[in-house]
Amino acid sequence: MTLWFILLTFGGFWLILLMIEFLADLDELLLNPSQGNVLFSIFFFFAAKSSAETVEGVLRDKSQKHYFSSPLNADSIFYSKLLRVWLYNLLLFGIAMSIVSLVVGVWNIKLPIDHQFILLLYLLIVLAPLIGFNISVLSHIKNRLLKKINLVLAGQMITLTAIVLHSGLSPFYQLGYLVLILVASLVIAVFLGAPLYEEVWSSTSQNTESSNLHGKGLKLPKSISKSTRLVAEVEFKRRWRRRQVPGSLIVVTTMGIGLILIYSSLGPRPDLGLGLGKYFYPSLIAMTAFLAVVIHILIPSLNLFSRDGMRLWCVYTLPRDMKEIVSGKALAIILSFPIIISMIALPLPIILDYPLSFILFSAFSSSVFIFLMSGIGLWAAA
Amino acid sequence: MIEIKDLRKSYGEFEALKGIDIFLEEGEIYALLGSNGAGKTTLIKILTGLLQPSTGTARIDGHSARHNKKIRKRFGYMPEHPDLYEKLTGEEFLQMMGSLKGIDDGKLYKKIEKFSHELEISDHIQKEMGSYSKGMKQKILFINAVINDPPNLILDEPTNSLDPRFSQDIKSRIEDLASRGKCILMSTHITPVAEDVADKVGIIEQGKLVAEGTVSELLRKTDSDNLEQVFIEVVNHA
Repeated sequence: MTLWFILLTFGGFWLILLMIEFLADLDELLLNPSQGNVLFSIFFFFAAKSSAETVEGVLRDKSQKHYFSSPLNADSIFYSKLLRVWLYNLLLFGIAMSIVSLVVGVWNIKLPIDHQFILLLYLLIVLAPLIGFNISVLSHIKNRLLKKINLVLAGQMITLTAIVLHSGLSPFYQLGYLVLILVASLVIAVFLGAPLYEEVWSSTSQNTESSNLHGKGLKLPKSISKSTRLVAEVEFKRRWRRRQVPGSLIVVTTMGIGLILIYSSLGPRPDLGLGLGKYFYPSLIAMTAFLAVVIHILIPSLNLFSRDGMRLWCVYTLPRDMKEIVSGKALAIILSFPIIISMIALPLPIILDYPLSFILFSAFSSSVFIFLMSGIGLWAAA
Repeated sequence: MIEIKDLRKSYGEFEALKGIDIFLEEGEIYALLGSNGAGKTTLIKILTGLLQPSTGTARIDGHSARHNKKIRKRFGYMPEHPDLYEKLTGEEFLQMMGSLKGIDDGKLYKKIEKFSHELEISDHIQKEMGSYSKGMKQKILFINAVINDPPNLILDEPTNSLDPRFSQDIKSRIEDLASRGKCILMSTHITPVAEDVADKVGIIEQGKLVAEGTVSELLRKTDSDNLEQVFIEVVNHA
């Protein structure tokens, strides 16, 4: 499996790089992203990722009670956690850059970037985790007024970064301004984040409030066997509450909206010099569906058992057939297929006024793909 | 009825269990004592079908633990570590487990309500278990083990993390269950718990059953005043 994932990772990077090279070679590129847009997207991704990691891995980490009950200074705990998020993201970026360098070297791909782009990128990768960390910590302050003031301050750093990257200033000045934003973010961390950290951790990790999602939840038809139905309903609740379903739902919806935006920008018969002609939109739909299925179906299937780990005793000691239990777990994942169909496979063919046969084929092939991927995922997980 | 014969479990060169024999009849409480890593939890996991033995047999009501599916209705299990579905509420978890154990929905709701009231977790039963204290999780595990009224109970450290009041409560519940004919195998390292409730005590050390008998028999044999002394004496000479 490890070899398989390495191949997938390299393959993915290779495809992205090929696409960049391909786009750069086009004369009249309608979807030509500016350097500022590319840099800001990467920066924003890392900031959002760091923010999520801070909430899940730092603020909700109950084991920090050992630190807080020790003679350690609360500021030191704050800085060590900040450093952890920072270093982890830098490490990840380092690995990604190494793979890119390797792929670029092996395939002799020419990327449309220069050394100033790289410098800005590195600075942004240093800045992004800091801003993400600040926002997460400050958004969990209990005092509402203080929370708003602090969040506005930390949020401004993102706005300022966007302004600098789209300012059209020379890279030298852009670097200078980004360093200033970095210093300002450090000031926010030192004077706002660190003093409030213990209070924030305490209120976030010790939160005993009941979730407001404890309604009746999903109810499946009784024609499905009781064990499978029960397990699927419970698994669906668990996934929803882990924000896994809402998160991937947002991603899939965004991809669907992206398809519509591409259509509104390129029109019904785009000729990007790709030689794809009438296949352009069908290919786009297929690629988007592939991504949606990987995010929404394949990855959760692969995690099906490993995520439960020590909790598997619950189902292993039940007087039920394991096949029914596993079916229930799988059903909870497959249940999200209407989202993929309605967001990816259907809207664009309908807008494009494609024949009914294509609309049906799009939905059918996406469904087949969903079941295929869930099968592969479950097989690998088992 | 629980019957364990010449049970062995090896992990490569390491022998976790070196031929254990235990027999429990209906209405009997058997306390398994042992140092950390002595093999108590391994034995319990084999009995519940979570682990497969290398050799030997473990049977519950005549059914081999190797064919776990047949015996799952015959026992209630309380694991040592409260690994629960943190994103479910206590009520949702018990509803799922109870339903899958075949309890009728109407009866199940009443049982959950009764148990949560008696164990004083009613105020928390509709909150996510991730917010529970260890003691509260322990109570959920106990309710889960007994909710379908199985004829055998396998309890791994049942009084762990409970305050003295609830520890006492669980002990009297265990005694009550035994008086109704349940066969109960429990592991513990809290000797007073074993001393209070067990009909028979087995001391396991480095995968071997080094002493077995009623509490009074063990006290007499080792010339000790309490089970803690018995345990130290037996383990030191094992």
